[in-house]
Amino acid sequence: MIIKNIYSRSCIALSSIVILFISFVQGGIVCLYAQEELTVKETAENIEAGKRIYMKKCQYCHGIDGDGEGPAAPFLDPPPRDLTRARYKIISTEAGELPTNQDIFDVILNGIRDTSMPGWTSLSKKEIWQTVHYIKTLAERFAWYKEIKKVPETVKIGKPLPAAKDSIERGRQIYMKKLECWKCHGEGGRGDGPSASELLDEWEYPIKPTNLTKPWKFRIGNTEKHIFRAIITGTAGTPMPSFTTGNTEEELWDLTNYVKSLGPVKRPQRAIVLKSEFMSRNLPEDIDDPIWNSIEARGIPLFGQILAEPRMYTPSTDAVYVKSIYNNTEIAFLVEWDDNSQSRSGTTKEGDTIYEDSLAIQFPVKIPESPSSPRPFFMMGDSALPVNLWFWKSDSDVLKEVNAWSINKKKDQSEENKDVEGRVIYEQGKYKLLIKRDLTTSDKKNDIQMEINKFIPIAFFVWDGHNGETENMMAISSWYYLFLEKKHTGKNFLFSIMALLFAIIVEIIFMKRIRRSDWYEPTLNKAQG
Amino acid sequence: MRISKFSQAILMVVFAFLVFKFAIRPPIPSSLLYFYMMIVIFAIFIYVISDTQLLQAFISPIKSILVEEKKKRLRLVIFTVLPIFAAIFTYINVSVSVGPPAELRFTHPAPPLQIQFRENLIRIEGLENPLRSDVANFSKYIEEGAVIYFKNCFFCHGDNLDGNGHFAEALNPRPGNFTDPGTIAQLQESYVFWRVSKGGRGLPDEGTPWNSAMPAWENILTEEEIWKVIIYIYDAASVKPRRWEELPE
Repeated sequence: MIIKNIYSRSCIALSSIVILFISFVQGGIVCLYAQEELTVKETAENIEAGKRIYMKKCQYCHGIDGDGEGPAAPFLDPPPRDLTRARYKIISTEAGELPTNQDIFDVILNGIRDTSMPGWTSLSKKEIWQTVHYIKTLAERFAWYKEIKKVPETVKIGKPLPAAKDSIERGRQIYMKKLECWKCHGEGGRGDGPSASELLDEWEYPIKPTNLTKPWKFRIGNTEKHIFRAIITGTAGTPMPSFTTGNTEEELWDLTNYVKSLGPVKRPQRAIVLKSEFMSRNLPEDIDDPIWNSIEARGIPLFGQILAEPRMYTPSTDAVYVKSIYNNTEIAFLVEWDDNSQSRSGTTKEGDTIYEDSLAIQFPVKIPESPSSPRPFFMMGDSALPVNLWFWKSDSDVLKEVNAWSINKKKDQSEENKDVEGRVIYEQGKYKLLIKRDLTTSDKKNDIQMEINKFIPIAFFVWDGHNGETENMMAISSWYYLFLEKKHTGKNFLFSIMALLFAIIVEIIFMKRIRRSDWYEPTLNKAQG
Repeated sequence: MRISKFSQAILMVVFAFLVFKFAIRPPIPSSLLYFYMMIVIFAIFIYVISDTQLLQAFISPIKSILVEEKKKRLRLVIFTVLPIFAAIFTYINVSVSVGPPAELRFTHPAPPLQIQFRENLIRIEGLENPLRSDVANFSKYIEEGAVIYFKNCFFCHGDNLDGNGHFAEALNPRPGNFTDPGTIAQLQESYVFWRVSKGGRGLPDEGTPWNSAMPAWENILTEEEIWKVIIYIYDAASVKPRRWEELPE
């Protein structure tokens, strides 16, 4: 196209300004990434600078001496790394080997998911390299390797096998029979194997096997290559051994494919609104009723109760997954959560106290008028606005209704007032709780009365008895919304038809005006002729 | 074949969209994409209306579809498709109406004039951090504040003070990001003292106290510890507290 006149040029100029502006912004980001390790050498000044950064940013968890005993350490699970031992988990070399400089750099820059190690984006690349150089001085092994001029080799990883059905099945055989991965990771992969509770890491801390059904939490990464690497190298400092000897590469790729198949295709979506779908039939009595498969689960994330004493810094449940349906008279919830140990009150062989597992769903007693009206405090209500809790506890395995005015002021409702019913199953490291109640009850003063088309605040509490969780020590959620979706009233169709008619009317008026305008003249005559 | 001005404009818009959507990595957020597309369309629009001849050339294909007898069939197709499209669009939009409701929340409501801190009545208005004037011990206070921060606060507010601690993902509203110029940098230290002491529940109704997971630290920390941790967060986030305005004598 030849640029003919000034207007074409100005148009192109305008567009190019926009495009140039964008590429400038993008280019700036790319430039940042291009900074290389080579620019920050392992010199005394850089190590000194790294030490200053370490003392400002890292020591509060990893300790002044790097021994992982900083002031925050007692509150963290997993505990902060002991940097004096040079045992790193996320490395590209053989297990137990020293990491490469790039490995340490990557961990500082990106952090480690599902731990308290954040990505240090507040530091520049240069500062991170300086910190890498300093951290290496904390463990003698790095200096020793330098002395004998040993460079740890990176592990070569081949091409993954396609995740075909037969490959996954062969992988399952290896998982269940040949390598017996299930003994720790559990038959369903939820880290609930028979040996799981006895596992200790090199520092003698109890350690849980990775829950293989939540790949988004894999600390080593969740691509096929990451999983394969974890299998062939094992994880330093943990009971996860290396599985190279006695297995062909093909077998290990099969196993990789099986591990990958344990997780859901898509991570359940976290949503502010939990939709309850209307069913015109009776609600299912069974947890395994196929009707549940047609309902989408919503993830509700949980965090440790750290508002009131005693506080729970390291709860073991990080989310519940909830489905809900209702009909003209009842509402039902299916709540699922992972727990690698089914527990009832008692003591372990070592004499540690175990508490019961428990879950509670919380509603306000009165639904707030609007989303901006006052609500009970999210952690079990307040004196002015109480909450209604539906409790399940593993000891008695019955459901209870409770009212609360604060975390320390709860009151059980009497047995004759009980309206909730349900059942629970525990299977392969996972609880499934079915809980049902009538939409409305006779006890209007203490029970939530469900209403259609209203945003009903809902929250969850989970106690893992094996993790010392009891009373105020538990995992909690903020308020979310339950929404009983309106029944299909044909409203959609009505609006669509209205839009259709409206569009046609606009078209008619438009054409009438066109026909009257001077546009129409020449052709109109022709048409008439 | 010569491309008409009208098709040129359409092609330009499509081309710009493809560039913004697929050629730029990492992908730009959709709101920004809409904004860029609006600029492009606006630029083309200005270009088109800047000259009468050009405008005529631009409009002629539209005109011909609207009035020419031989294009009657095309006209009919377009005029049938448009209302159907409107109906489908409406149907889709009406059926996904269950979005989260808007929660109006004041992040920084006005502080009270005074608060009851354990047995003491503390006047918030005009209050300064008593430790800030003690220059000799300042670095010691930062150090002690840091230890308090890492024993109590960083689970939510994060090592980077960016509100991304390991519990942050599960919190709604999210914990305050102290590196954001809209938080502690625009507040007086006394305001921060009030919020730390009384927590989420000490907020007035417009601050939706029923949602905030911020504990009331007066039950756990002493007055001096809170001032120390305030010194630490300003230092670590590299921002200065807002000062009380000097009143004319």
